[in-house]
Amino acid sequence: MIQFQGVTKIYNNGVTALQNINIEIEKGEFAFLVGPSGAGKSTFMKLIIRKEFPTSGQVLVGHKNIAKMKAGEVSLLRRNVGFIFQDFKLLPHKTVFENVSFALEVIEASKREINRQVPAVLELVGLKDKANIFPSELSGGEQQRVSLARAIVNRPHLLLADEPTGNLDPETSWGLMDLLLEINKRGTTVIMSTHNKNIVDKLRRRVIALDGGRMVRDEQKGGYGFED
Amino acid sequence: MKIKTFWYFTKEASTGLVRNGLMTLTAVITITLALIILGSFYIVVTNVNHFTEMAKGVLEIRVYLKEGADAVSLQNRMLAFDGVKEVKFVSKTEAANWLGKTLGINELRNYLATDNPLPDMINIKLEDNVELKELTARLESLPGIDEVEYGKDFVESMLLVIQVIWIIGISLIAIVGLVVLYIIVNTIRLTVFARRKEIEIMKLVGATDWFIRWPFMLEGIMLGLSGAILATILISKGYHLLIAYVKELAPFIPLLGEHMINSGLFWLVTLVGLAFGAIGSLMSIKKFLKV
Repeated sequence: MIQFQGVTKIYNNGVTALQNINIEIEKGEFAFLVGPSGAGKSTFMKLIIRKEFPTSGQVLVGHKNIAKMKAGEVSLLRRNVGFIFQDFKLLPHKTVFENVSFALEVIEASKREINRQVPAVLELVGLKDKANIFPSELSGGEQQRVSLARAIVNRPHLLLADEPTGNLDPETSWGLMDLLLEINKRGTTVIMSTHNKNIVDKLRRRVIALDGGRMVRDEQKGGYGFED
Repeated sequence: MKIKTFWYFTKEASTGLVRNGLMTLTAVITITLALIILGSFYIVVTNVNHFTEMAKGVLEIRVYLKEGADAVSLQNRMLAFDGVKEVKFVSKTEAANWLGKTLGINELRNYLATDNPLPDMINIKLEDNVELKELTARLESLPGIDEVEYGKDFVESMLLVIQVIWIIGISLIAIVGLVVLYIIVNTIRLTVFARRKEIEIMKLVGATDWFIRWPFMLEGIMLGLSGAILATILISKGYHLLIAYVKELAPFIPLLGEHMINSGLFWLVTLVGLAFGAIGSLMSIKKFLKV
């Protein structure tokens, strides 16, 4: 599903974020991306949705070279990739329902589809009763679940989670992990970057470790492996 | 584009304008003023052009013939030239009579009757859309022509006036254009900035660039259009008053009627307003689409 072939990314300010990365992630996998801050995890994700271009090498998503995509294809690519962030990125003046339906409205989905999909996905993340309140009235864990609902509401093949538990307490984090595992079980590929040693060590999934822009480890059923 | 989408765009654009109330007002006023300058310039140019064309119509070219030139065949050839309306042969005897009569000096009359130094002449009346320089050159190239004379000083000074007006006008439009663009870019940027999170999320969930751009484009277009409508109304009211005033005080100045001005004015001001509105908003959002 995703292939990095000799990918190097050097930003305009001269910082080398990734160096010669070769990796393949299959459809349906659940992979952790670990490493210290500045290791290149965020850049790795940004390359997948073509928020950034590789300086050299190739990034293929669904056998398509992201560097050669036209603007329209990039939009289509992103409709197939859900994204959640450490800081949730919810719109404060929209309700929970509107935050989720927003993702469908801006790709011109029909009213029928919105009315079918949004309640279903809110039920999945356990926020059906809170559809009409604003993000500021929710706890951090709930906000992250809204953001997750928005990411999966148009049924993407791939879910990218950039330190999704970074702002959550351990218990809430596990609640979110259960949802991510459930979504993965339903066939969505999940890539999650994290500093959460506890979660990585317990779940024993594929672990891709980056350090200083280089890939230092890639093991199936791996552990976190870095000192906290 | 789906109708629902269009309503969404219009709603978003209006929200943006209302939210930036004071800035919107300032922008509309500035754009109106700028477009009034542009519109007034259009009126000046149209009138000066009209005046020059009219002046050309009254103009005559006098062609002095050499001794013994074939006046009849020359007249026929001249009639075939572009811009020539009428030709009239004035013989040297007629010219002498006219001159003697006008000056009223008997000795001169007698002298001219016996020994006439005046040349034969062909008077040419011109069409309105004549190219004077070109025609003059063609006339001069005919055989038997001694000299071609026309209201050269008048025409050349008119042409100079027109040139100066154009130079002033073009610089004016450039400055006005930059001002309008600057105002629109900054007004829209307020909305873009207020919405930068939404734009980021829209990009992330795969909205197309045009879907994101349209509300801002509409906002810019609405600004430009409001300015254009206000400017058109104000200019045509102003011109109406000017015509009445000039009729009273200086009726010999031939101003164009309002009906000759209004549609051209409307289109010019509206299109410029629209274009700058659209370009300005595209410029303000450009940076935010690179996500």
